[in-house]
Amino acid sequence: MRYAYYLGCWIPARLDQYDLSTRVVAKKLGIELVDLEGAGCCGTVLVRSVNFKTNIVMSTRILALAKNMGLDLLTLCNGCYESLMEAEYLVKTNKDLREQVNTILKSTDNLVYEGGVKIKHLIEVLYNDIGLDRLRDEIKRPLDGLRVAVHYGCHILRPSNRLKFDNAENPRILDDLVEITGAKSIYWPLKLWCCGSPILAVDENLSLSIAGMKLKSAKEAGADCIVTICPSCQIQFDTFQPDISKVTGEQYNMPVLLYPQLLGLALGFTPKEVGLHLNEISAERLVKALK
Amino acid sequence: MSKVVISLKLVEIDPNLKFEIANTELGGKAFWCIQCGMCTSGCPVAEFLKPHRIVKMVMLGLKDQLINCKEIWLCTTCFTCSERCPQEVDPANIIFSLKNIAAKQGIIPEGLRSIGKNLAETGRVIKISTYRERERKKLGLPKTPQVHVEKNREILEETSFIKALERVRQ
Repeated sequence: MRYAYYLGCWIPARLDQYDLSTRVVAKKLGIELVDLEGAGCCGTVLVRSVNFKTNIVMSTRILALAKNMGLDLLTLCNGCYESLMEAEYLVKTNKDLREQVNTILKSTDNLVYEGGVKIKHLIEVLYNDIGLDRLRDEIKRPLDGLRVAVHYGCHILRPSNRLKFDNAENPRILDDLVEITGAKSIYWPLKLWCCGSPILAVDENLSLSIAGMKLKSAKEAGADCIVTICPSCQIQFDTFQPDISKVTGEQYNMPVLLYPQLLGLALGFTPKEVGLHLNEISAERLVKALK
Repeated sequence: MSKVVISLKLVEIDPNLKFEIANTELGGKAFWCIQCGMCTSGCPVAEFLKPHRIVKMVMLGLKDQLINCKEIWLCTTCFTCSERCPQEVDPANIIFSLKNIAAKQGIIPEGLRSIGKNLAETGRVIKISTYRERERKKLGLPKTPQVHVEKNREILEETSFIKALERVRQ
């Protein structure tokens, strides 16, 4: 199992723990990650808001680089996942756009892309390629009793006609992956809501108050922690939690873990090995509760 | 949108707006909308942005009002509206199209403009400091993959992204 490993922007800039915990878990499970050199931003919805075509060319370029390595692409970011999937779909189905994109890529990079790279989010690889049975066998330290508020993040689920990831209104994949660790995925009313991150640059107060509503919802549902799979969501809930409190006037004290951190703990790695000390909100009381 | 339009001047109407948007790669079929409000009922920012009203305004051809309003930039791009629309109108992509039309005229929120500048300078939406590289090393992580900054910038030039960033709103 060998993948072109595409980090994107937010992980190297803010979330070393996502990279660290992914590499640790991947090594343990025999997933080989080859860094995708030369790849910049995928464009994501931020660039799409200004210029749709710029976004598609940027994403197609990354797919072309992965194709040149002869590998399928693994991403940890929902934003990258959605953007790359959109580009792959359009390049395959829209001949005019494909020609326009390739004219630009040829002149800037001498690249051509006609489609064909498989784009996989980390949790898709864990769920489909490794599988729940294998994961169950690897669990060394079951996280029994831990109540987890699972947060998918928008751009892994929607638009489902493009992404075809899971049932967009009642997804199970991440819930199942969380429960394989022994933890319980709880019901919380705002589970499928957006975290507000994409409008942080436009209206910070509104963006953070959306995240505040979600944190409150998770807390009221009795969650011990939130688990995310998207760097933007993680930064929003964890890194900015003190800022959210300033906007809403409420204290949450809600640890937020990235999925490979949670899985890593269950596989027997120490909190430090999965970079838990790098999270903003301390997860110490969770770790103490574990055997 | 907080303001309800009560009088229309025909000269300010662009009857082709709905077709202009439907014909882009983003698509979005405003003319299929039955104003059921399913989109707005699931929108996390519905207090400020009501997708069914945006779609109605597109149908009416109120282009100037739409591209000059702040609300279109509050869309969180969560795609819940498009997911649930029973008519496949795709409000999220209609809003993307409106933002693209606005941006072409230099109407871009300051925050997005500075993200655009980061992209042009570093090839990423956020700059990675040398401090981060040292931290990565301490954690035993390999160096951050290099970005072809110049090649990325060429894409931004070729697709007129830079031109939109540099254009100042009249």
